[in-house]
Amino acid sequence: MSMQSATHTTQGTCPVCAGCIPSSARLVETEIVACPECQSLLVVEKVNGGAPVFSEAPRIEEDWGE
Amino acid sequence: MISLAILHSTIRKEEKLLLDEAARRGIPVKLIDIRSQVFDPTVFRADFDAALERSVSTVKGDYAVLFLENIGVPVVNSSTVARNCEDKFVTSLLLGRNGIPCPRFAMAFGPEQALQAVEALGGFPVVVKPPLGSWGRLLAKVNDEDALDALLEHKEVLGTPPQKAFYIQQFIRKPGRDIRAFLVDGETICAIYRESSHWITNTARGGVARNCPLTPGLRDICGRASAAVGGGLLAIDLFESDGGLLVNEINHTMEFRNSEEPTGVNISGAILDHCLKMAKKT
Repeated sequence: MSMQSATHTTQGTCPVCAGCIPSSARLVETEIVACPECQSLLVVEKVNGGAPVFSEAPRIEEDWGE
Repeated sequence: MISLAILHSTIRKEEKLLLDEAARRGIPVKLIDIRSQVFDPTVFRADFDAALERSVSTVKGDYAVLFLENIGVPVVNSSTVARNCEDKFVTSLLLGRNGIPCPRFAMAFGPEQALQAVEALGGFPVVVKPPLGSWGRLLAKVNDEDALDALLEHKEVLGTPPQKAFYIQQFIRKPGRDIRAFLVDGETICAIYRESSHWITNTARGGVARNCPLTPGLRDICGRASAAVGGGLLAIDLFESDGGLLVNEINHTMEFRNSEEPTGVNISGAILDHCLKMAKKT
């Protein structure tokens, strides 16, 4: 299965508040998670090798949904 | 060994459930982030047998599905099913044409016409919805003419072109819940009540999911609604009205994170089974 995912012991850093994001859960690239400190929604950009990398998530767009 | 592709953008809980289920079964899955893909028919090579469309963006998902269908890859759901479900006006027209009970509805493009439509629907309150949209966003329960005028003026001034097509639906009084039924190829596999004291009961808006027993009546109306839009993998939203069940909307890339636990049904497994079946047909 070609999936970039990993369970991390190292912490990531929130690009908004610079807070630490614990990564005990499995993360998948492109997944959206919330920063536990500032509640900003973040995209998991990279999970392989070292600490996970996050960026700010895009705003919900008009055509998003089910 | 049949292999599948999942067309995705943002990975949600549902995609994780699907990937976990595929891993348990040993089904090879290729993840295709459609935002980073070039859909060039002279270059693209499909190294999988069927694709499941799970893009959170309807527009991008539509184009990806059309592309794969045109190079001969079966996609779940098809572009036809997507088109029939993603636009509430199209869905309502198909339900009406096939004699499936649904709330009364109308489309109008101007305030005067919208008011005429409201009167024909039986008066206020009504619900004004964007024809394209999801998660209960931008729905408005409109109780009187003043509110209708204000809402439509805001849409005219601030809205994108799709927001300027006014889909107006009869307001149905619900018993604090609606029903969401999950269908695979016309068969209802499970259903939930979405309970909320708010008139919008989407779980994305805080509605709580509880198991809804499948009755012959529910199975029947859902089966007929599925046939009306082309079948496939569907989540059908229904109202319990004084006159019986009414089909409100049909979703073609359904979210089900809150539904496997209360129903006890492995929805992700049923989705994968259907994809494998579609792949075997080719």
